[in-house]
Amino acid sequence: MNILVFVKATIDRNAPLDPDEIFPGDRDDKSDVMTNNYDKNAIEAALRIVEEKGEGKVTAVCLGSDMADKVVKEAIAMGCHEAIRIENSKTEITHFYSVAKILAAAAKKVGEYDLLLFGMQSYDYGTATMAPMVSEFLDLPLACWVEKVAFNNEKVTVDKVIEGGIRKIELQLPAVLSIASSGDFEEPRYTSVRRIMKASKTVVPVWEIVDLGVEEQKPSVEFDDIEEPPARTEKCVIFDDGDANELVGELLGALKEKGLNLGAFK
Amino acid sequence: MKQLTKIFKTFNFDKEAQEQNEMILDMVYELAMNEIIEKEQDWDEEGAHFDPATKNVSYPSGMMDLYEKCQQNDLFSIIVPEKYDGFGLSYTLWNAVIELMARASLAFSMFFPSQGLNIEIIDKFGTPEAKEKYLPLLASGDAIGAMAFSEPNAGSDISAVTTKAEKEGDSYYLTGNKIWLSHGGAAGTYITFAVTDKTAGPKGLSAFLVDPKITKENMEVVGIEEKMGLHGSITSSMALDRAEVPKENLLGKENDGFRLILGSLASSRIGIAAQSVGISETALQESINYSMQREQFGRPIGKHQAISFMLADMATKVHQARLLYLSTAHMKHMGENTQIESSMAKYWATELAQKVTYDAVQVHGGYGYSRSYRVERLFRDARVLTIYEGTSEMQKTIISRGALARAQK
Repeated sequence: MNILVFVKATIDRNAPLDPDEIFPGDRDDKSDVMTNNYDKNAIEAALRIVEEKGEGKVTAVCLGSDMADKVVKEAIAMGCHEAIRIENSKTEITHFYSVAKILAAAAKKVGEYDLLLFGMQSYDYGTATMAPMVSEFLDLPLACWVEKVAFNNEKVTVDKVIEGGIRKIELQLPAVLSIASSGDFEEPRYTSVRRIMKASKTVVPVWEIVDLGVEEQKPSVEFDDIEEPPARTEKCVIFDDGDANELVGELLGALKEKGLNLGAFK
Repeated sequence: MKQLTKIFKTFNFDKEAQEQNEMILDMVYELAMNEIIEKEQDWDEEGAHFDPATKNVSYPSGMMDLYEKCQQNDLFSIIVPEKYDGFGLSYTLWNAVIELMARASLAFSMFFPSQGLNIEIIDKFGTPEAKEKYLPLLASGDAIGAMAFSEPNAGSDISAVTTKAEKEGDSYYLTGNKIWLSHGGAAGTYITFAVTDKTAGPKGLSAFLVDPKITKENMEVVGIEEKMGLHGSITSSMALDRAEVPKENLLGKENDGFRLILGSLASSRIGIAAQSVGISETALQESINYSMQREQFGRPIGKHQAISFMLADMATKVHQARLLYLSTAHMKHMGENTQIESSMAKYWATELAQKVTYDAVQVHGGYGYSRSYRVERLFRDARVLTIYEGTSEMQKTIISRGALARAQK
């Protein structure tokens, strides 16, 4: 069982916010960069599948600048057998359509695989579009938000999260799955000292986008500007002292005073 | 976390070691801040257990599950030589791990300094058989390492121990009482010392590695201490009644135990300084968070100079203490003698922790005195730091003697 798991470098949620440095490649300090946390669920799924099968290989694939080295090394330190980084320092391609094209081309270049795994979304933009787009480009079956997998010959049956429940579907391998952060793969494993020592000695191959035969697509969305929202000046007023009925009246009165349209509440 | 890794960048680690350090610290931080800190309040409330009928001790619920995660992540093997299933990494890293663990729970961090001291003493003074047998067990964490130094009448004056060791055939048989044993009854190795020549004073003491699998019921827990803080950690009194120690478990030479143990304590003192920085860092962070939320006189209290200056003092103290313990640990990693510097780091960092946790309660006002707030526990837990592994007064004695000796040279 050969599994490719796609991992993304994002800005650490604890790092200071800077509208001019929204991509990992913009940052000078590696400690500002972290693995997209949802991708760790995908790594956990990949490792568990291979462990349970007793054979196979997990390769982590990451599109990013050298700031993303930390992310591919972490994937190895979690247990991935190999990793590939696709160099993305010059243009810092971030529009989703192009990224998906590049990832699909990388999968094609690897050639042999049974599963392509993604986190259910990214921590930063959260579009959850990579798995669907890559499956479309490679013409492979897709299941998103997968909580559980069971294999039967050339097929995989998955439990996917839908609103209000679980839907079981069967897919022909190879297939593309996005892994939910709930269910069987909810708790990704930690790295360990032993695997960290191995990761630090592993030389991760770096592929160039031009070698993948992908032409850069015109972005469908462009960022004009990104800025911090203005600081809020309104004070929070809490109505908690007195009878509930009277308090509701006071609240509505205060809202009315602010000029809000209260509709039926007059 | 950034403060810690920033200091690491100033040390002479090569690129590969630097990367390993950062990845290991990231992993420990995640484990400490995602899981261990969540349990800290429950452990404090539940405390450790002792069953007088079976003489068994146990840690509060869930603590061993997290201990097992530390085992799975190979955390106890950091400073163990590669030959004995370890990774032979630096004391600098090891002590930073202790700091991160103490940020989450001082009680949980108690697993680390004594493990480190067991590893170091056995590696330095153990017989080849003892190293072969016990270092892999300590590296995997399958054995918890404990220290049994204090006795009812031998505290700071550890030369006053009365536990005696009688040699018969290929074994020593130890008889006496030991108190203040962290992990006593739960540990897999105990380092202790006993009188082998009662006419020679401190020069008649020998150090031993006691294995409870060999002593069996001849070493047992008498009781556990109800303490002001550190409730989650086991602190036992133990009685040895002709407890067998095979001659392979003698550490160093016979009658050389006092010098050997005294020399080794410098190492674990760096770990106590690291614990102090961990607990102080959490007290600081709790105070910053609270002071930005709590509003009085129309603005967050952190924006009032009285509180903001207090926070500035706390942050400076934490940074100062961190520099002290990390530079001492790195000196040790570089093979320097750190006898005096370790005492300085222990003395200064543990005293600063008193002030930082005290101020953290003050910043929280009435809430700081409530058990529902973390700073109340931090204040209670921190109190022991200036006492165990040598009181502040003992550290000052060591420092002043050292300073005088240096001045005379």
